[in-house]
Amino acid sequence: MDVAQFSRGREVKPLQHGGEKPSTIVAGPSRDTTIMLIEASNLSYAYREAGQSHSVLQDVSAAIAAGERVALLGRSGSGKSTLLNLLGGIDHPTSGQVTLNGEPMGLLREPALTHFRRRHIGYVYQRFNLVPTLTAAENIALPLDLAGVSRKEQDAEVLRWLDAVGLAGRGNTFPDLLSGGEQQRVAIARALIHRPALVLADEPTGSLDAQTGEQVLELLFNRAGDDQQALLVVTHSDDVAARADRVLVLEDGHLRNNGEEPPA
Amino acid sequence: MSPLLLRSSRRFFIRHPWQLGLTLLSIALGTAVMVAVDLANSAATRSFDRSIDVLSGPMSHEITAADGSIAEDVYRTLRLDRRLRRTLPLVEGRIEINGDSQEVVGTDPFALTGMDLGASAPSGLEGDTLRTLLTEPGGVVIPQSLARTLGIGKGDTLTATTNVGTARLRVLAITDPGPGSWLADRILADIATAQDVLGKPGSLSRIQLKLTDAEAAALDDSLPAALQLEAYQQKQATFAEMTEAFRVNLAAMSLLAVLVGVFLVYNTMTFAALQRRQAFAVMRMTGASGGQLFRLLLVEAGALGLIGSAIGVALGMALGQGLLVLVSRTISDLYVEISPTQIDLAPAMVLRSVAITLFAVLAATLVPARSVARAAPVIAERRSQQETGGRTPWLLLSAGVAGMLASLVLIALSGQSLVAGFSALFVFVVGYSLCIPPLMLALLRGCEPLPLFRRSIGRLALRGVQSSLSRTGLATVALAIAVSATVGVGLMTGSFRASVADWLDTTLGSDLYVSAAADSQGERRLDTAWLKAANNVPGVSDVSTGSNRDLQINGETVRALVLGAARHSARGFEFIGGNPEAARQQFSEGRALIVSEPLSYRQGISAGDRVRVRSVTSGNITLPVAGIYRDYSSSRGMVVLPRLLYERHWPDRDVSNLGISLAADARIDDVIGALQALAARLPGDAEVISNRAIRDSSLAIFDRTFVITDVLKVLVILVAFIGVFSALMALFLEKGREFAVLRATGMTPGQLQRLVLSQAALVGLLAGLLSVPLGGVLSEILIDVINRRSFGWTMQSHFFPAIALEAVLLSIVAALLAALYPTRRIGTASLRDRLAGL
Amino acid sequence: MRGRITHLARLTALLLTVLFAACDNRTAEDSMAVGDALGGIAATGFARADSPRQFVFPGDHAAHPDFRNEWWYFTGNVEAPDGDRLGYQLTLFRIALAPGSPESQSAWATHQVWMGHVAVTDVATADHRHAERYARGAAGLAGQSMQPFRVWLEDWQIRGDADGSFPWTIDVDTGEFALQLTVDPVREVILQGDKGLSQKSAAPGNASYYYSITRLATRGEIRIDDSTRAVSGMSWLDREWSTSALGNDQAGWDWFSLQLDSGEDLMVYRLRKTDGSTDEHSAGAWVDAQGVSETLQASDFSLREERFWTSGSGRRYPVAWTLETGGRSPTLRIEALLDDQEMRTSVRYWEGAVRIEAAATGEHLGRGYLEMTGY
Repeated sequence: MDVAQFSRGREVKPLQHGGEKPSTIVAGPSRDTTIMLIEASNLSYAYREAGQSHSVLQDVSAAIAAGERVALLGRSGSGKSTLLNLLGGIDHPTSGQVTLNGEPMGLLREPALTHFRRRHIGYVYQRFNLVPTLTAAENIALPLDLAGVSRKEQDAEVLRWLDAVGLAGRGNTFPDLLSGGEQQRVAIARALIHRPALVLADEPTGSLDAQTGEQVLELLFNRAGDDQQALLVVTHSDDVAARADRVLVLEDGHLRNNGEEPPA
Repeated sequence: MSPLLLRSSRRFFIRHPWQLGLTLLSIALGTAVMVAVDLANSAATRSFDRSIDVLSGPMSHEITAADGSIAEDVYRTLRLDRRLRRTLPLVEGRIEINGDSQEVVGTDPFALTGMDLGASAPSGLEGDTLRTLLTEPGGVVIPQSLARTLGIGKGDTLTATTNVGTARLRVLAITDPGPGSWLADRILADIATAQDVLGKPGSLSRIQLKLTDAEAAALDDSLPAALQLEAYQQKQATFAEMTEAFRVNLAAMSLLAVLVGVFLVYNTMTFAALQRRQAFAVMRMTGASGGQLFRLLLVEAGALGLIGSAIGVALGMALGQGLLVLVSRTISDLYVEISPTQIDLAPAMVLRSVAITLFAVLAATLVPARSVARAAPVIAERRSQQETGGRTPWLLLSAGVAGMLASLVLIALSGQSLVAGFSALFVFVVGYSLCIPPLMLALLRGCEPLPLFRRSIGRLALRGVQSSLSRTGLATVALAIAVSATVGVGLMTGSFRASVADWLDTTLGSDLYVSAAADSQGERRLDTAWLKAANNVPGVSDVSTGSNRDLQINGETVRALVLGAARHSARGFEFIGGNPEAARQQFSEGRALIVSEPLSYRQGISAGDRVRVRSVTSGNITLPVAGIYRDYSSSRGMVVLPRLLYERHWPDRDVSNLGISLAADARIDDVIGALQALAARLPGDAEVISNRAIRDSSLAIFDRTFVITDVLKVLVILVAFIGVFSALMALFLEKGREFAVLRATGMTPGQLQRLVLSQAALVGLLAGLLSVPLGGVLSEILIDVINRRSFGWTMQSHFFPAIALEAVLLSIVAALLAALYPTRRIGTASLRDRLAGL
Repeated sequence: MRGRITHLARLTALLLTVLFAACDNRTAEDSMAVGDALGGIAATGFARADSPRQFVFPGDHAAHPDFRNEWWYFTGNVEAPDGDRLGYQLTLFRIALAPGSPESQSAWATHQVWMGHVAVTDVATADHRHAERYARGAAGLAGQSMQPFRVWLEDWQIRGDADGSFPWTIDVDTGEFALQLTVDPVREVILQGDKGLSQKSAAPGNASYYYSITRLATRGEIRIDDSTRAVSGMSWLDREWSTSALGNDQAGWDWFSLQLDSGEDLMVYRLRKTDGSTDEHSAGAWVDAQGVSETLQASDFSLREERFWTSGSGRRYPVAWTLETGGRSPTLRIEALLDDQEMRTSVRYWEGAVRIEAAATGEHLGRGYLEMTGY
């Protein structure tokens, strides 16, 4: 069993006690005080095409604690996005399981999974983050709207977040009139507005120039940090990795380092 | 439903106005055709019902005579001996005033007293008018409309030409009856005046009665054989029944438009879902459930369905007015004379049409909505599974084949049911359409090795069509169905027409016909001198006689032809089954009658059976059936009696037409001239017609009957065309980026346009090719199932290669036309803008 | 001059009532207002009753189509075996719409129109039924014939033997009720007025030919709904034909036909003018027990209303009277056997059975019929 848990030792207040944990899951210096927010155990993922099985992930285990910021590194095709999807409850593993606060996600089915995502997960992707037929403000409001939050509350929150991501006054702009960086900032606001426990970001700066990317990363890390949210960023940028509390590296479907401290 | 989701949907359609407009238009057209046919059908029925209402007024029954004339004593017997007080004697006929034919009705105004007429009492019979009707010779009451036309007023005198000379009529009063009011919208006279003017002393045209069921039953039992009692309600029911097949055919045709519309909606919604797959994925990841997206698509479809059907209802009203003219004309040609009235949009009809449309649209959306709901919320750059999925074609193919087989089983098991016949037709169409996408894929694969598709543009076009099959596939199906409908209907009418033409050639055994013109009573009688005189015309080798009668066969009033006095009376009949020689023999010897195919089909009569007939001389008798013969002249069916047989049981010896065969050396024009001279000399009006003229006018009526079919065919094609247009356009516009890459790689705008046009042509060609087999099967079902069940006709099926070729061309042209606009847009699009979208 | 106002005037007045109050007289059964057609027919061209004539019987029981109006008018009081009293009325009117016959080949052509009124009164159940019919006098629908003697309106008929001599049968079935009666005179024919010429006014020709049979023994059956009863009693027949009209100042009349148990018969009528006064032409006839008749002038009798009954249509009819006969009998009190005997026909009037008592003692003196119009 290949369980990894790394932390810079920050005190994290657990969202919830997940009952008795097998001792093997929790390891590392803070094992007695840190309750893992999300844990992946022995994940494998394969798909079939033209009668042939293609393995993407093999026996991957990882855990992230609340408030922890983790970078996931790896080359194209190494299975980063797949792992992200599995952790986000978007896809189901071929074997192994993911638990959030000790609750196995594999047992959840739609629409429970949808409610789970709606409540606990925020996403930022590299591209096509936004619904093109909704304005920036409406995109940001979408999670609240879907959760049935009143229009008035939505408006207040959206204004606050537009301001927070530096887009005050541009709420009525449709995505196609926003620059790439602006679009990502809207996406970050939308991913955080409902205060999810876990924010998943898949190469959020991948299609941005260096300077814009820097701004977006700043925003993502700061904002997520503000609310003690766990953050998992898929990237192949060392800059991103440098900001993370911990780094996981995927190579050909295996976790290579089991979570090193990021390079200083 | 989340307001933001709804808003995003609304904006999506607003941002794709072409897609929205064309979707609405195809829904609207489907609904419009349905509404229009519904309107025309119901207006035609209502027009007949109204004409019966006008005729019957408050009365429930009428007594008529087989020969059109009731002895007036019958009325006295009813009133005095049978104490039936709610009876009204009518003497009807036509007169000519200023060259226009006018209807006169004479009655006894005093017979109306004591009946509880209420609002239906005829106007124009008050006070002085009532008195002067009896005392003023030639006194009449005329409707306002006629008075206006003739420019006359109360107290004026008219000269009318009648059957028996001229009559001076004096206008006693002018009534202004509401449209369709009883008695009073014709020229009204006292019964004595009417008998005098029309030259019908001693006889009545009909006796109207208001009877309870018990009274009617008792009266029917005791009525002399020459008279018949009929309930007006029965007349209406008979009309509805008689025209039902025709109306069901139209309704089915209109449902075909809806079916084609369903494919288009399916196509549109699938496409609209594909276009938004990323947005939907974002929504899913943001917390929208699959169920929410499923409902969202249904709401979209429902809104489109509502708006589209609302437009459709409006369009349908306009279209319905036009169709009504065609429907009325066909019903008048085939069944009974009706005059087109106003169409009248009943709320129930609107609701029904909207409901059918909504149901169809929602049903068509279920599949794409389900696939959206089920899709993993992954933002994928890849195409959806269904375009490359390996199992789907086999699934579709087997479902399709199962559908077609089910249809054949349904046909085999459903007896004479017309509705089941149409259901089977639709099931077959749906089954076949499921097979179209896999068949297209196979055809495309088959095309790959062809030299045409080896070069770059050809190969690109082929691959483009292949890869976009999930988007164009359904538009292609819609086009193929629409085109196959034209093929099917075309082959059916073609076969039908050929059968009718053959039948006319067989039946019109004589070279010339002399036919009596209808007199004022609508009776056709040739003067008795005709037979001998015609035989003496040089060049005439043989003369047969014919008379048209209405006979009660097995309790049903049926048209009968009494045929006699020719050496080969039964020559003109093509007997179906049985022993034709024996049938001819029995008929010629006057031993049995023969029954037309539709009557035999409907009443289940076969050769050798006996039928119950109500005769004048012998009362109720049964007569043997010599054979069943092919006949397309009446879908109600008819019987033919040899004159020998007829005269044994009926007293009248009238002849309404003569069939004249020419000697081998006779010159037809000379004989026509001699006969026309006879016609001028002998009393009564008669017409000399060549068999060629009858054949031509019969075929003209046939063609007129199918005009409405052609109109509906065009409408179905129009719906399909719109579908293909919208599908291709959406596809090409979506492919803008791909095209930009091609342009950037060095393709000229011209080359790109050629690429797009060849893709469109390929789609059209495939749809056209695939429509031909379906069309062939449709025509077989139409001929052997639908026509047989509707009208009892069987016919030879013919295949017309021209129709098939036409269909393929039609399909290609439709696809090319549909591609024209998108092609132009591609040609003019700025490369920079396109690439910027990358 | 005796009997100036006659039954003929009754019809004419009926028609005038129709003309002057058209709306009121249209009933559901008669939305065509046939009455309108039968009023206001010009007298020109018709035969006139301008001099006494020789009456011949039974020949004069037949129709006289040269005159504009004619009728056969039966009223009667009968009794069922259980003692129940019933009254009946049957009138067949002939009206010529124009003089002569039309020129036509048609058997339907005619100027003659027939109207029938029939009524029964069942005193015990306080039931009064009536019906009305019209028919043209052609095509065998209505008319009068002698071989055998028949006066008929469709299936309503009065029939005798070939020469018209009595007894006659009355056969009427309205569906709702039916009369099947045999009537046989017990008195000779009485010629009214001046040997049967009944002058209506000073104008020559404004008169009718009028005779009566004041007592006909009556026997037969009367059916009301499903109940048929054998009846017997006494009827009264009036026959009259003319081409005369009623003055415009006359509103209506009250007519009495009375059969006294002592054997005398009395007919009187009071003609009311539009101003409410009694017209001087009011008259009557007294027939003694031997059948000898005497014409009464207006001054020979007097009438007084004693009690009124108001019908549903608002008409107020006097249904009880006292009658002074100038000493020919005790003062009579005449009262309806049933208040509601209104004829709701196209022309509305009151016609019904009455009882006759001595005004002083209340002693039963006889039976009769009363007709009141113009209310």
